Amino acid sequence: MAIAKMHKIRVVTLKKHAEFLYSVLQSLQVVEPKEVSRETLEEDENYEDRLRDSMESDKELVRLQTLKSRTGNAIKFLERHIPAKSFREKHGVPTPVFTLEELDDEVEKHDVTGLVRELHQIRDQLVDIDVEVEEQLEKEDFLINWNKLRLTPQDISDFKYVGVLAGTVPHTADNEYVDRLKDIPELLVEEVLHTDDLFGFVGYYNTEDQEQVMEELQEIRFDRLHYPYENIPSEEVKLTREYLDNLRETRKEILEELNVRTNDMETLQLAYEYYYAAEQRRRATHLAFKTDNLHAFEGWIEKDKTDEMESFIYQNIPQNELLIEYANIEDEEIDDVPIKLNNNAITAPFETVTQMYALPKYNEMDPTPWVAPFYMLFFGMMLADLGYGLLLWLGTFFMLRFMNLKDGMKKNVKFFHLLSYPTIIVGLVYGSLFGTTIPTQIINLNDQAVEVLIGAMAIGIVHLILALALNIYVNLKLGKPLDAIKDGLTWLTVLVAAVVAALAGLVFNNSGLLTGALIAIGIALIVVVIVSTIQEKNKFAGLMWGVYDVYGVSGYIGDVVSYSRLMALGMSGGSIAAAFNLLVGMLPVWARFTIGILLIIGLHLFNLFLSALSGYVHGLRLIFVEFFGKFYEGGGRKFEPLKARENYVRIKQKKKYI
Amino acid sequence: MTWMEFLTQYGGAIFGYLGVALAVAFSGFGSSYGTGGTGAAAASLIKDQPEKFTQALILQLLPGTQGLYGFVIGFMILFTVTPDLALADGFRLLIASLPIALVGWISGQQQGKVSTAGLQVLAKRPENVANAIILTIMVETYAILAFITSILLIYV
Repeated sequence: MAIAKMHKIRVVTLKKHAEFLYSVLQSLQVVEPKEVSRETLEEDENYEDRLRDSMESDKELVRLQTLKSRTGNAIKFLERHIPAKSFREKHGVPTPVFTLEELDDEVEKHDVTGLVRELHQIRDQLVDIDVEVEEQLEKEDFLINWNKLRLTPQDISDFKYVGVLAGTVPHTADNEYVDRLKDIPELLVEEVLHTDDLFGFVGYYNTEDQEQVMEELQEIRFDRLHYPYENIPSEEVKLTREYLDNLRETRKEILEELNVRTNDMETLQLAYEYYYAAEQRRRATHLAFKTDNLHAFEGWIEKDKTDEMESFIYQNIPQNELLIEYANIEDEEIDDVPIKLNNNAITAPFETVTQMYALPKYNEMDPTPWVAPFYMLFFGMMLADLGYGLLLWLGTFFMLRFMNLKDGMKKNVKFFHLLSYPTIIVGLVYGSLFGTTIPTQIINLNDQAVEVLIGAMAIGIVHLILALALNIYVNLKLGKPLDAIKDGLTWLTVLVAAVVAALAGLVFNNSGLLTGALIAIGIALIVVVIVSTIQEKNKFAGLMWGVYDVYGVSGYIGDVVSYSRLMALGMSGGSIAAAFNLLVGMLPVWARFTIGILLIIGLHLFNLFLSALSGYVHGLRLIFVEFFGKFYEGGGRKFEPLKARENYVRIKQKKKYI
Repeated sequence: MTWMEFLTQYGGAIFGYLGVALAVAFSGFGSSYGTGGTGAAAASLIKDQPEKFTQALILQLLPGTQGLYGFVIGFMILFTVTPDLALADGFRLLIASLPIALVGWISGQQQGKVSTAGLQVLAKRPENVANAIILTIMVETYAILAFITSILLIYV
């Protein structure tokens, strides 16, 4: 329905025009390149591998990829060190617009590789400084511990009569090692360090006793002090601190220099866009077929965009140096065709819902136009508050009007903006304004809970009937009339007849109508079994499958009951809001108009968020499970044209080249 | 005053208030168990991928609704209870609290498990997180049915 019609396009041109051609296509964003079809391609199982090999061995492509990722890293690094943009700068300023040529020129003006290299060096330098600071801090700790040491081990190693040694023994709770140390008769111990687990000391002994002392020390796990510094600790620590201050000063200077490089950030962002776009073009050439003089490539193009594309290309490449061919899509190619959805302004935001489930296949239909009205109704019934609807409307309106949003984000905001309308309408009908009752009330949820419940299920039945009608349509479109009868028509009959039977039995008390409806249900179920038997080769298996299909009746009961959430969630959100109002209303007057105001705003925002979340996900469920489950398969691939990244800039096409 | 007299006079209110307590408490158990488990798992995901906070939060909040349903039922019963409520009505309100209390208790826990598992989807295949959300919502259906039943028992 609203799946964009695609053509296969084949372009053959002179080699000299190839690069230009890709630029045009990239700025138009209408062609998805595909591999050139060759007779032998089908048999070529290694095609994917060869494609990868050819990309990996392309030095230019590798160079572009490297530059792109290095620039990306530089952006990430610099981002952390320049002042963050204000909300206004970030969202209020429109994205700059460039043509690909302007982008090229702009990037040429700057020495981007130099800049990137410099930033990488600065980054490495900062890392080095951080490592060094860490080491110096450890050294400082060590020196502070040994602060009392007034000699360095080097000073004392060559005394003639007196041996001096420094080191530690373990310090345990029962003081065992320390006591035994002090008990060594040949050794005079001077304590210099005392921590939870170590006892450090300087020991003096007669050089004649050296061997014996060492032996005894070994028994109590003596660890000789390793002291690689020239000065004694109290002096060395001063030097270390000076050095640390220097390091920190250097670091600060580097950061201050980085802090003002906002302009470099812009250059980097442009460069990133440039490298990304160039890489994409280069990548596309690998799919093409090349000879010494000619360049041929194939792709998918939207049918509606062919004229536009041709006019751009022919303005710049002489007709006799270029050949453009279109081919219709063969049946066996249907699974390969990329999918683009085309919907009008109101239904387009609901494409996200369809996409979240699966894109349709090329020969299926786009269910989005059917999703939109029901999703709106469901969400409205579940949020169901005039106040919340107005808040949603205002918030999304503000964002759409005054903020510069990226395309995907804009679609989402628009989605919720559209959802605010049914919320307002249902809010009016339920007479609910932030949980209070207002006189517009037509339906009182508390008193008429049962009526609303039945109404919700009635909406569900309508939704299911629509799903089954679409099932018939899709199956007929795919040329499967038997499936249309078995999966669509019969169940449609069952559902409608069940409604008639219920009305006849409970409301009109018309026994003739009731019997008729029940007979219709019976016939429909028998048809299910018959069609199933016809379809299967093994008739007995077909019969069994048919009987199993009939059991699906129970599923429909569950489906209808599932729609009761429309009433339940609408009620829960409203009741919670009313409860919050009541609680804040219980506060004494002075508190109500001070802290109470903040409290009630916070509580309502919380409830709005939770109710909107519930409405969002439960709406999805009704669409995905109850609705799509009846007729929609999906499994199409998204159309991904040759385009630029457009993260930091927008690419527009020049009206005329040259 | 005999035991029977006491029961006839105050029993309605007592059972009604008991219903309020049960509805709020048990569905609260379920939700706090569910959101607690998912929240802890979400925190360990966010330490590596902080940009997924919003989606992780959505997954954490899903098992939180049972507590809200219980709260709503609690409030509805609270407004129905009067000091001189008849004993039979008190019993009815107590029984009305049971569906959401029990189902909220168990389904909150179970939904939490599905939600926690859904975080794996978010971690590895964020584009499919909607599927994980749908799986989680499946469990909630039963809490909704219980919620509706409780409402019907109060008002009908």
